[in-house]
Amino acid sequence: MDSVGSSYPVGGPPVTPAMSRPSPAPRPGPTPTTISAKIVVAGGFGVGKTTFVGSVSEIDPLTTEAVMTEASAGHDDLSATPNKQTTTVAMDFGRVSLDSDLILYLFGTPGQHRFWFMWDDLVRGAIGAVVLVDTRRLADCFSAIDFFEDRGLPYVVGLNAFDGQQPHRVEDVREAMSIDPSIPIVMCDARNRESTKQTLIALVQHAMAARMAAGARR
Amino acid sequence: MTSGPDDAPRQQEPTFADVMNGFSLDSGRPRKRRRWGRRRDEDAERQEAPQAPPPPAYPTTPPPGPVPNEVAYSQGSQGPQGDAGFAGSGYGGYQTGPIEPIRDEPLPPAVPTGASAVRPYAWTRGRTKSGFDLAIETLVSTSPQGREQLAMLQMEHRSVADLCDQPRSVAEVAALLSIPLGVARVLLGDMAGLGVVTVHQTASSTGNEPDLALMERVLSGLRRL
Repeated sequence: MDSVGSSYPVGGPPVTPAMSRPSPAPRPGPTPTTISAKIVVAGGFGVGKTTFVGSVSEIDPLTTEAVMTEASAGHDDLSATPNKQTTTVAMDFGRVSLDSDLILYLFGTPGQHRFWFMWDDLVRGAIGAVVLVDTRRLADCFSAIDFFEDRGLPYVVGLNAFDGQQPHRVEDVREAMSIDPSIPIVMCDARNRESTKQTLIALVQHAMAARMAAGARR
Repeated sequence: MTSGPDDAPRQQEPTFADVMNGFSLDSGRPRKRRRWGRRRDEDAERQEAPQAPPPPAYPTTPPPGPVPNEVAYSQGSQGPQGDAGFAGSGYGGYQTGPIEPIRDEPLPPAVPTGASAVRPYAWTRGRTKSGFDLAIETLVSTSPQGREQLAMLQMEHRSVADLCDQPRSVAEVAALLSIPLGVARVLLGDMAGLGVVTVHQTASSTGNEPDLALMERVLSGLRRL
């Protein structure tokens, strides 16, 4: 299949955006150069994960599905709908192009506990996680925090301001949730692009600091 | 039953009741498990039940249309027509039993999934594992070879190749084609094996965690947004 490269028309019309980088001539054979990274957005149901993802994503948040069958055994009450064989797990995500060859994906976690079999997939290779918290329902995020601590994934806590209100001080929330002082807690407004951006920046900084600290310990 | 014009509606009534009866038997059962055991009980009840008026010609055989699976269980040898009757008479007794619960499920409109009319796992011929290690954020793009062979590709691969003209993540392919993530993985793994798509690097391709240099790039990229 060596002939494939040479037979490809030099400077031919079907040049895709991805290949139109300033490289002078199309190289023979594929050279994958676009890198993808991901950040996980977690939190309780209705805490604003999809809003958070959508505020910074360049595409409308997409939803991908995994059909669940056996995993639902013993969890899904199907008595009302006995003909329903499968349950669909939906996972929202958005995409941010950070550079010509670097794309960041933001994945919102499926909220319910029984979907945790998907979380391993989500967390693997992630830079870190943003745990969104509604201060009126603190307990909703505990399971997510436990999960990330268990997996050693760096995370920051984002207090989402509903109706633009932040009724509690950060330190009060930290104490109430007994979050380690090393974990950043940031105020954010999931609807606001700039706020979302700052939250993500805080996460990446925290993840880098955690990585360097781990490297120094080794 | 004697006058001509009244005859038609009179005869339709038992059939309709039978259809309704068939539905309530199926959808009213409280558990998915023990279907096999319960079905036979139900069937026995059903034959004694006064609401199930037997059609005049075949006293023990319900009409073949709406509840075909009942035929195979009740009296296979009498099945007048239809595949259920054939299965009963051809192979005798309960040999076809284990297949039946699967066959009777697609009948109700319980397929709410996306765009494709084909069952997703038909695309993958039943496989659930991909030969490639594809994360949900892994980017794939159609290779020059894939672009050349576009017209010769099989249908599913072609729709993926069309989509991946620019790099797209596995999750995007799944979402945009309305197929489950697992199916997209298998398809893309196949296509990568054929050289039709190129699999790009992820932040964690080198190890289990993204490296510092890449995180630095993500950070400055976010600041530039």
